Amino acid sequence: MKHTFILIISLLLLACLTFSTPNSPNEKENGIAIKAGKIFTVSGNTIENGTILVSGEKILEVGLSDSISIPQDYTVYEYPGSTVYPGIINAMTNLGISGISAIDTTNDYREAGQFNPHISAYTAFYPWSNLIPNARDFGVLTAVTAPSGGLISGKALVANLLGWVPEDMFIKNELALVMNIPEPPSNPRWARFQSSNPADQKEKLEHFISCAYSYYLNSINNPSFPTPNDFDIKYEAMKPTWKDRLPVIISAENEESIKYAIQLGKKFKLNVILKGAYDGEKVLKEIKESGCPVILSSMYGSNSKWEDGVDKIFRLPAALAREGIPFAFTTAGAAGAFDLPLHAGRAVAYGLSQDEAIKGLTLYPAKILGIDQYGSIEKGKIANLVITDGNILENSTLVQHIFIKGIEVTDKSFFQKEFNRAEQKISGEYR
Amino acid sequence: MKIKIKIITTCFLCLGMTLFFTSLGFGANRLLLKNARIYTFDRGVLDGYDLLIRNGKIDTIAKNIQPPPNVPFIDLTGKSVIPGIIDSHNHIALYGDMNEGTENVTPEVKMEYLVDADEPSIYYILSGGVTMIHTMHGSANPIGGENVTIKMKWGKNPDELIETRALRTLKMALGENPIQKTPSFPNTRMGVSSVIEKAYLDAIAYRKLQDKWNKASKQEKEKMIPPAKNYRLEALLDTLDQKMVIRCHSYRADETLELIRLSKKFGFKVAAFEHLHQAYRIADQLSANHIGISIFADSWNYKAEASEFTPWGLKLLYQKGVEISLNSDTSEAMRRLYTEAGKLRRYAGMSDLDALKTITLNPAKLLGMEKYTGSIEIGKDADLAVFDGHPLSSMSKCVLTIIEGEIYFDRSKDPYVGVK
Amino acid sequence: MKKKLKTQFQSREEKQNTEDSMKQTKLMRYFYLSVILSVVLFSGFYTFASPPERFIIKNVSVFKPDGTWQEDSFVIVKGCKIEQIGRMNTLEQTDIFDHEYDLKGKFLYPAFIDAFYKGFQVEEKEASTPGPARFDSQISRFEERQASEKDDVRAPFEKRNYFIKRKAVERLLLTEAKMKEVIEQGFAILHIAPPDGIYGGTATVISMISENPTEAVLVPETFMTLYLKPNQPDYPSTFNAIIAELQQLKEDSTYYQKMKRFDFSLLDKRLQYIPEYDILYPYFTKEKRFIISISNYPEQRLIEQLTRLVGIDPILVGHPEIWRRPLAPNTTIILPLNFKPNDNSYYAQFEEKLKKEAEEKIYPQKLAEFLKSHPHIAITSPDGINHKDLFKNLQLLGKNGAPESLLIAALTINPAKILDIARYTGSCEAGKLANITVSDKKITEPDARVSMTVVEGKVFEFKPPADKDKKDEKDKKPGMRKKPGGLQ
Repeated sequence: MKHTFILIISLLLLACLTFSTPNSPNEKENGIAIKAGKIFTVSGNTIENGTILVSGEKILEVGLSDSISIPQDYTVYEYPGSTVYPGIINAMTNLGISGISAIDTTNDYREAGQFNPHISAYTAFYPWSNLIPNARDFGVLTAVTAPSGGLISGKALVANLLGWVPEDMFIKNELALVMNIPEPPSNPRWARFQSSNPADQKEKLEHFISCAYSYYLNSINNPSFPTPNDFDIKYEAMKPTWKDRLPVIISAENEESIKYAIQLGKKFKLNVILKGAYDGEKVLKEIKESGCPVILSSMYGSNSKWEDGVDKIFRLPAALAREGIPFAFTTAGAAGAFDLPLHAGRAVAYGLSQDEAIKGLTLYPAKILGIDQYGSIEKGKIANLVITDGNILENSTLVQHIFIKGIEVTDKSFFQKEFNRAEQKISGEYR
Repeated sequence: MKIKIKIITTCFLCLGMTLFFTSLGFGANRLLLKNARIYTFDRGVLDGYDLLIRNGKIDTIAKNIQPPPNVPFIDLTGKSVIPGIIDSHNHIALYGDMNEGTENVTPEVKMEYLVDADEPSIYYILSGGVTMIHTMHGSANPIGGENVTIKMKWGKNPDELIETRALRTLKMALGENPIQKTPSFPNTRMGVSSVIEKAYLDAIAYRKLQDKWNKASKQEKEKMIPPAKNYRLEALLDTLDQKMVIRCHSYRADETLELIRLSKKFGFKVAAFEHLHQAYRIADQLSANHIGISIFADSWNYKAEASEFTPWGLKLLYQKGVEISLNSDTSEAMRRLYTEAGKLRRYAGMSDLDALKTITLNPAKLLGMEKYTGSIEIGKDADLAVFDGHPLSSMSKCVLTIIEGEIYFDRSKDPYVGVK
Repeated sequence: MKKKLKTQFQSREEKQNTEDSMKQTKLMRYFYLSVILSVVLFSGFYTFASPPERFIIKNVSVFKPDGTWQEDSFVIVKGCKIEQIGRMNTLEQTDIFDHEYDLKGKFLYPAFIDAFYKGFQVEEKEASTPGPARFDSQISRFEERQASEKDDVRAPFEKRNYFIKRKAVERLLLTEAKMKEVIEQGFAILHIAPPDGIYGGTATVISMISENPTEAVLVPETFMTLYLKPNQPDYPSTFNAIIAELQQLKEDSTYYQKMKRFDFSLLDKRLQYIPEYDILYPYFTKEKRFIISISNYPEQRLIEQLTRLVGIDPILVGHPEIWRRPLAPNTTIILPLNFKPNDNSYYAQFEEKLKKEAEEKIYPQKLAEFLKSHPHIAITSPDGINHKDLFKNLQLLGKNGAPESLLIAALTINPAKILDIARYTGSCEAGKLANITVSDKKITEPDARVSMTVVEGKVFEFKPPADKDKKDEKDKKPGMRKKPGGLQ
């Protein structure tokens, strides 16, 4: 009996030992807690003196500091005078596929030809671009990278702005198809510089999409389709549009184009996201009915016609907010991608509330782009956090700390490194 | 006798009445702004003050000014008043091409002949609070043309826009733009420097000839060839005689230092370098030579020479006392120049007023206009911009723009604006 | 031998006979010759001594030099001049004419003079390639410069579109078809201006009398044209550089004149011949004038600066917004009558509806006022080639308050004064050239049509479109003085 008893206890001890093997250094057993003066959850109320608990990549809990108990082994970051925002999402850039504008060999965002659905940004993404850490410095933690040009530019991706190799960064490597509606230039004086007729181009676009649609239908109805003869790489690339309801981001600026884009979506059963929508104010009803959200153009723009008024593009976000149409802010290009919060700030001057502006930087883009684990500070979402010393919509605010997927990013950006070098007058290799 | 007395008394009465009414301020450009937050540089930010404009100039800044009769007044409760914004580098309001890049040295061309007061962009930038601009020759050649300073008096004819009180300035350009004329000379930065050097040597030789002629006696003149007048070299001599200053477009620190060397060698004055993304590397040299910079806050990476840059470098420049002016180069960016200035608060650690100076007083100094405009002081031109919030915040907008006491932009009266 | 002797010793009789017969044939010859000669002389005498053709136009309303109408009048043309104008009731019934034209109910004007016409010249290829081909031509120019081992070599004048040596009078190309078009619109005299380049060349004045340039030219050299069309890729490529270079050209050409007379012993080498300086010099001493074409307000201001800086007094070929900037009343202006706002005009910068308003209302109103304040303006066609739209616009000006007398003066006596031909044309007066236009209605009324044009006495009648087959020139009677090589 005793021998059995000792045997059972030793077996149990052995079991305990087995199951209490020390953790490998790579596993984060301990979570982190962030305590801050203000937390903008975006999806809920703003919390004064709150705490966020993060375990792994995800947010465990968020609430008033008084009502949250921080587990013992958690690392605590205290930012008493600071504000925490969800990581900002830039809904359309060409970060990672663009370099210096004037040097063509550094730029990969514009492929030749009009129809390129088979071209994907993720195949040419450069994680070591110094524009990426610069964007992080100012709170932009997630960005969409999209090709441009032609009628169908290619496929966009969405990525977190932290990682050594591209796969580390991608959230979705094929986020959406990018399409552009051809239109006459907004200023009739420039009409003579346009090389092709927009009406012709529209016909070609529609024809292409309908061919792609019938290709898709063939492929699901006909098991032997496509034969080597029928195989078309472009139409193959269009299949996810219907198979997986891959969103189609359609750039349309004037009234006619916006209506045409919506109609195109209905006709070919596309999951349409409108981009630009310069004349969106005039077709708010149609946009609302269609259920299409809007990705806005950069707020650093101008009106193209005198009758539109000097504040034409700045009025649009407020108009969309009033109608309950989700919208997202973007910058143009990549070198200015870090400036996104101020674009939202500009819209606030023209009728958009600050709350809606912050939603347009966080919650709404997450919803529009289908990356619902991002965009707000709530339980279960990915811990992308920006800690600032004030209102992120103000241009005097400094971003103090950033967390991407629960890890604090302490890498210095090019901007910061260059400053240190100049301060200490260190010469030599700078990149 | 009685008639004489009557006549004399009537005359005196008339004179008296005229004087009386004039003293009341009957004349053009009178306005009273009430209860605003006024940003002055000598007295700080004044809350709830009134500002009286008379004859187009700032007359009084005080609390509760009694409105003189027949002077229109505007209630600016809750609004901020700053000096009218001055953009010292752009190319708008010029008719046709402003870039005479076909030859390397073209200082004889003048932008003042090309001023186009009908261009809609003048109105667009008024909606951003800009009252005066320095519109320039392009950067296609090492020595360009003479620039012009104009006030944004929308609706007036071009002659009324031109500011004759401003310094004469000559555009020079270094770096990538002037060397794009491959395969013609210059193809390298070395060539650009030599073009400038040769131009000045030619100008000095021309002056020697002229001096020789002028000093010669009548008999000697009969045996001499008179010098032919050359407008191009005359313009260069104006820069040596300090009648015109240089505004030089450059990006890299090395080419900038080279131009400073040339300026010392020949004796022309560089007022400011334009763009100069690498200014933060040579803050010492810029401040030692009293040269200002006219830059973007953080727009960069569009050219190879603009790819080495950090906005935090503005801190170094600010600490070393280099005078920073912000510019836009386009009408779109000019409308939000005040937000770009606001960014300097985080980049350079500037106070609100110092950040405001970069778009008002500092550019005025570069143009030699600091006695007349660029700040809200009694006696200066009434060039003002009124904002509906903090004047440096992205979340504010300009609601009223006044130049020399006249309102040129009123958001509430613009027929096409959506948000008044 | 024998035969020879025989002929030698032919009988005297036979010889006498042959002599007689020879005398007879000689006489006959002389007789025939004299008959022929006398006939020829007679007919020749008749031809040379015959009086010039005389015709009369009856029952017309005549536009008098003072701007008023004289109804029920006649005009007698003798040869190429107007002999007499008078009222029908003063006409001598016994007067005989070679032709009589009864144009009852029609209106008679002096034939129109176009003060700025760009056609009727040999077309020349442009010296430098314009527009999008910039880089190609730029590279070849720059390669030239590099090859010369100098940093900046300025191309010669012609290559930079400075056609200073060019003369329109040497490049005339008159075609019958086009001349007919011009005459059909009532124009008899045209001021031919070179159409291209920066300095296009010297213009000339021609009459529609003949296809032969030597006969057509009235004034061989008038003014030098200047267009504000900057070069690509040569200097000057901007507007203000055109001004700067003209300033410098003035200095250079004045200096050149001085150096021509300079003591050669002081020079290193002799002066190189630069014809452009010789040609331009009188323009700077105000002996000759430039004729400068401006197309919008900024260009007008540019030219104002130019006239002030260089000290010239040009003739301005204006634009529809010319009234926006004050001009001295004695400025010489030629106005292309065009109401379409061009891209750089004020009214094209704002709302679309403003552009339309400008074309239909604002320009006609303002230009009518402008005409009243500058009564010496000459009006010309909108594009420099076609006259059809001109009359439509003229009628619009009339509707907007421009008095008829001013409008007609702008087409007749004003251009005549500008071109310095007013002493012999430009109005209907006895002694002046018979340049006459007759229209079925007053030309300031809509659908007015020219029914007859007389160019220096030569009549061109135009039937309305329904009777087009009958439309032809009047036959000429034999024995009339003919101009060799003229329009038949």
